[in-house]
Amino acid sequence: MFVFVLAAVSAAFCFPNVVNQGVDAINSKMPFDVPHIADKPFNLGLDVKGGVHLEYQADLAQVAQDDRVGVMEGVKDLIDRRINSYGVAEPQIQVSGENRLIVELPGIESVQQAIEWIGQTPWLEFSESRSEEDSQKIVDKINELQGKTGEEILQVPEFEIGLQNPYFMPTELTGKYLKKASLNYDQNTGRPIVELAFDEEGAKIFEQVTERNVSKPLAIYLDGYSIIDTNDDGQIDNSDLYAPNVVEKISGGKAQITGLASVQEAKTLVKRLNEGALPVPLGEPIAQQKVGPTLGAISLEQTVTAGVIGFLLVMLFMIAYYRLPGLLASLALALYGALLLAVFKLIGVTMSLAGIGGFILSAGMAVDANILIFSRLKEELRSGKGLALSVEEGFNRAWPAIRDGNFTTVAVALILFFLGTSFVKGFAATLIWGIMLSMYSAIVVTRTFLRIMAGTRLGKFGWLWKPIA
Amino acid sequence: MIDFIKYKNIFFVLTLLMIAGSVAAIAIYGLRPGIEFTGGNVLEIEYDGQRPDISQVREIIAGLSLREVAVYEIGERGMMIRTENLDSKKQVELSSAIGQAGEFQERSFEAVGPMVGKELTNKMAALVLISLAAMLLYIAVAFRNVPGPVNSWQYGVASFLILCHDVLVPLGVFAVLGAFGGVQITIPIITALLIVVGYAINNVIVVYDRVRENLMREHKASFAENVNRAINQTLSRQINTSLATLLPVFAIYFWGGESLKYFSLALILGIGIGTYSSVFLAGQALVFWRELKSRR
Repeated sequence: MFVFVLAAVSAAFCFPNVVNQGVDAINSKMPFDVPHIADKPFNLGLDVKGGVHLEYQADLAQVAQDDRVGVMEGVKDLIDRRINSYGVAEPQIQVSGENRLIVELPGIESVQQAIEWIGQTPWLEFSESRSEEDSQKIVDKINELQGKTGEEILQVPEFEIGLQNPYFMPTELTGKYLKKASLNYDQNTGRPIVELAFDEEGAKIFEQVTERNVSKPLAIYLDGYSIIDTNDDGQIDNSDLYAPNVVEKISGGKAQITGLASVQEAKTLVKRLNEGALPVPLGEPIAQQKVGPTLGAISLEQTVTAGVIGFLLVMLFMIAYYRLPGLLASLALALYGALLLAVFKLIGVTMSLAGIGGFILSAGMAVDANILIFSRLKEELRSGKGLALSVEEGFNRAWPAIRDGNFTTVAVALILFFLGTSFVKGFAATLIWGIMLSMYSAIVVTRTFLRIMAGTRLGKFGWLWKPIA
Repeated sequence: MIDFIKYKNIFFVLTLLMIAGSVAAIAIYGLRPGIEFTGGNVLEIEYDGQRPDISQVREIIAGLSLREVAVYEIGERGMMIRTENLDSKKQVELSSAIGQAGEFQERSFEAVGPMVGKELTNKMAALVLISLAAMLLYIAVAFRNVPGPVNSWQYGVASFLILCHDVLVPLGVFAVLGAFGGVQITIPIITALLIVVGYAINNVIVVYDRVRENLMREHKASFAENVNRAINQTLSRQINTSLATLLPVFAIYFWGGESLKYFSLALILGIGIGTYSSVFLAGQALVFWRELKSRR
């Protein structure tokens, strides 16, 4: 019974649309509401979706050993932020090893453009507020330029004015003069504070800038956008502005920023200030890969077709050769397929081409266990034992070979998973899950089916149970 | 019952011929490692209209004086261009130069720096060695209590030799394919060969498991008889399992698209050879070894 419920649930999870439509139909007629099943998409790999994969090696020669982990986090954060500002959907950026950065950008067609985005040196600037009449002038100009095309804009006299930030203008103070930013806590209140340290020249500039901006805000920009997300909408755009107020003239090149919303915000601020202070050169990518969206789509379609054909062929073969047990094994195989897909969805195993290959392959292995069991079943039947006893004996005799075979394969798959590259890892992950579920399918599901069937009237028809040869 | 032992010398000769052929192919043609091991660029394009002549494209690329250039045709309108590792400026130069021969779409592009390639080669070599060692260890432990005239390390060595054979023959085929079709030994192919190792050990275990069982039950029969019975008893399993596994792999080969084609070919070759050796070599090797010892 449990087997059937599990089958229904996993099938429902694989095809949520169908089920949810049914649920809608029921809900419209019934007084109660049946909840929808979560429509969680499959995690598709870059080779299926299409996109750009880049690997960088950061030059950490200038960075002290202890700071390297933090610095790499900073680099990652910077690239993440920059890519988000270009509107790439679901980018994946991860630090690998000590100094490697892996960037995956689904849906991006141009490798060159991606390299350009990532390769830019970060630009940190401190900006002071403009006078009211300056602001008004720029706002007017912006309104004048609104709705015009690029070429028309070039015709407008003094159009450059309208391209500026209307409220803040850059000071001479940039990331070049910042030595370090660090996180600290206020001794009285326990609130986070960010401490800035400027170099000698920076200290002088900072003194002048603070002197003329006492009681006024000083905005901090990175790459032309606000350094942190201030309206908490998850992205950084022109509606964000981070501008702490200058309390007094500061000499000596050391400053504190207080009034931070959270420790998290303070940490982000420190990370980004440091990235602007000492940019870590990434240089040219050490490895890159691009898959066109058409190639990805074609490959996915082809692989899925291949998978379906493969499954059907195996089922046909099993039924033709092993008759009733073969049919039961095919049902178990179908359940196994649904279960595996459900697990992939739940855990979020990435379905790359390699992973799909591993999936199809593990289906073959699921069948192997059934074949071993049926061969033994045949021998037991031949020796004159009754059906029910033969089923039990067949399973027991086949078990050592199934165990040895599957364990060695899992062992190799584990080695592949822990040591392999991303292609190999995807393959190994699906193979390991596949083997574990295939053992379940062969040992529990097929056995249950066989026991039930052997007890019914079908058990009396000997020819149904005998394989061809 | 079929007597598989009687003609074992024929199988040994056949096997030696296959090994000699593979070794010769690898020695003569060599294996072509993919760019993931050597470093380099691979660009795959598809022309919008008629594909220009391959010699024309070769000539254009020759004008750029790049090293390690190779150009192949793929599919109906596609082309694959392999070069040394290029910086992004040179990549742009290359693709605009190819554009002279006709409008095209970039289907895929891959670039690997030489350092990454070297790392990967080491990593893969370690991977293969560790996997093989794990297998050997498993056999030695699993058969430590085997009765009869052949001891457990002989089972281990025999299966190790069979594994090497099962991997060597597909590699020989790939050496020939590399020389005539530009096929490279890429990571997917190495992965496929590791799976072949897993399958081969599976097959051998099934036979040896039966030999062990027979030796425990039948004390009167000779060693050779017990082995032969084991081969016969496992025959239908070996054939059916190979068929059941080969069916989806063939499906990948024919319908699975370009990127998994050679991956599945390596699997087909490996599983085919693995089935052959489990029926015609695994048990026979044990008998042969036993006769060799008793003759002395």
